[in-house]
Amino acid sequence: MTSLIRNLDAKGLTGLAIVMAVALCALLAPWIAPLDPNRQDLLATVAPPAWQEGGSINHLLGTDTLGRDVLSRIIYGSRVSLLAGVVAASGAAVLGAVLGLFAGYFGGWTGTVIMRLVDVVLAIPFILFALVFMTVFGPSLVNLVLAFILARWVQFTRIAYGLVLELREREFIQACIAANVGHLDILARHILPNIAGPLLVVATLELGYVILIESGLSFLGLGTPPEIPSWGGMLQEGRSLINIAWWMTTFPGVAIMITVVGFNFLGDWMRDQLDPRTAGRDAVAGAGGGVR
Amino acid sequence: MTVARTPLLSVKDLTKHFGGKHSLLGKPRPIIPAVDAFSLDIHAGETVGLVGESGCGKTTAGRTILRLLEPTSGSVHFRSRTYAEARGPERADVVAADSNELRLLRRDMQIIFQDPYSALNPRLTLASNVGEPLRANKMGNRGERRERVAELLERVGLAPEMMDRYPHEFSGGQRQRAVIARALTLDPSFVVADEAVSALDVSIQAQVLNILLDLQASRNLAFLFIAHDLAVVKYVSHRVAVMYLGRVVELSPTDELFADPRHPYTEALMSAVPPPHRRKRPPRITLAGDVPNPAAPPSGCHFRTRCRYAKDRCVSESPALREIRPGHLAACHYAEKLTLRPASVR
Repeated sequence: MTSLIRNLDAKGLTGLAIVMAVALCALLAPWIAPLDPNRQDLLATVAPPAWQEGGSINHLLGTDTLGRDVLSRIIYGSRVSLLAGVVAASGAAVLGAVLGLFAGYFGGWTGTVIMRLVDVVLAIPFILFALVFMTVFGPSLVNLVLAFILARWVQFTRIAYGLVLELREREFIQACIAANVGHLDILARHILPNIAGPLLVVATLELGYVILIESGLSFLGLGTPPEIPSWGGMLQEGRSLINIAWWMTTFPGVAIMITVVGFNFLGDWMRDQLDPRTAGRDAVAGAGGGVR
Repeated sequence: MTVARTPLLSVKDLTKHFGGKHSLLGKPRPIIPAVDAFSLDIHAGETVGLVGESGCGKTTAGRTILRLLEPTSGSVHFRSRTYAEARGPERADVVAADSNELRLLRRDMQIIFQDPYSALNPRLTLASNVGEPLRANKMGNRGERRERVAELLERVGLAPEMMDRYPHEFSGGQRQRAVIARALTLDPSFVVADEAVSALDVSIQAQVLNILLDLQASRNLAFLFIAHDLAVVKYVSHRVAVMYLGRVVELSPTDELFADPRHPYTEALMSAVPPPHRRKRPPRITLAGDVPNPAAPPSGCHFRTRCRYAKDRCVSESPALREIRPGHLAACHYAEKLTLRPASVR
């Protein structure tokens, strides 16, 4: 762990800082947010940010059509985005990676069934699937996460499957079999670490996608309930007023962007740390020194 | 070499077919007999070279013997200490072994791979890579395993201080030596060396070959030495088997094979090796055409389509691998009659 922190480069540091900041916002929202995110100030609806003419210090980033404070809603909204993003992306990653590992490594009937299932899931448009799912089970954050996991695991399975197929034929895996290393041991110790990097990158991309999907579903009235502020929901609420009240869409958009970029940086850095070839050790000094 | 005891390893009629099965929703694939009735005895401490052109089934034969590939038929009787200790009988059939028996047998048989770049797990340190067989077989604790790894690395000429580095920090030759060390961690009595030095520079090749020969002398190791480089095979092998299209066509003590080949394919194979001195080189025997499609091999003798001595009998009748002289087997109807040119390899 100490060596990990020592290896933090600019990118990793930026990513970590952003993710920590968002996480802190989510955890400490009631203490950080200047106002109740659902308190309506009907005397100051669609108020611009404080530095613009007509803005007030009470609403730093302005208010929406009901006079709710944009800054407070963004801070509270981080809860939904972070929770949905992290849980949904990691849930899909775990499910998808495990199925991909098994499909690729054992092949045969198991592999065929899993990969045909992937084809089926890929053939269903995700928005349609999410719509049906949310309509049947009711719109809630939990159902959004579930829908995401059930539809997006295939992204991880496809990638894991392809990587495992290639790895399985590598000679070090054959050497493991010849040396009595068990199959689960091979999967966990020899294959998973070698495919973790690409999977991590997919996970960070999927994380951004969850946040955007949440906004799309909110637009269709099937996202999180309106009393729970979310970045996606805010985007949709402000969409119709984008010409006169840019702050209602810009600030939640910026929040989404910064968060996604933060997770991408962190993911890239973690991928590099997982790979000994790029883990910032003194590789040059060691090479070639051992011939006697 | 004369060994009175039963062979360490007796391969009998080992056959490996690829394809044939229907894939789900797919067409039946043609059956390819990659290894066809492969028989070979290997004695303790002996090196048997296995040569042949690409795709002739050398590698498949080696992997099928270790059951890294599931044989279609045949038997591989192997004398294993670990098996004898646990179960009693001195020899057991690798092909018929259940998974528990196979685990015991595999403790005494290992493989060295061709490509040092893909034979080590890039995410594990050298110590973990080399010590993995010990860990998998629950031998020793962490400290004892590290000690054993250090000892083995030393043995193959790698500094034990480097054991905590990752494979990418080593050169190809260093990695190949680590691969050899890994194959030896369980102290096997039989090792399949599958093109063990082919990927290395010539200077490193000699180094690694000498390590293998040293280990053989000190541990009484037996090798099945798969290679396409005849000079290398000649240097390390006591006997050599020549394969063509899945079948052994000639098997003989090394010196005799090079001095007096008894199969036209062996003759052609050897004429492809450049002579060591720049004396007047005899004309190369160029084989006409390509290797036939292994899914539909020629009738009779597999080699007849490219053989310059082929006669009618070769079309109708498949030649058996038979003893021409004591210890020298060839699969050619005219093995005794043909005048074949010896190899120019020294």
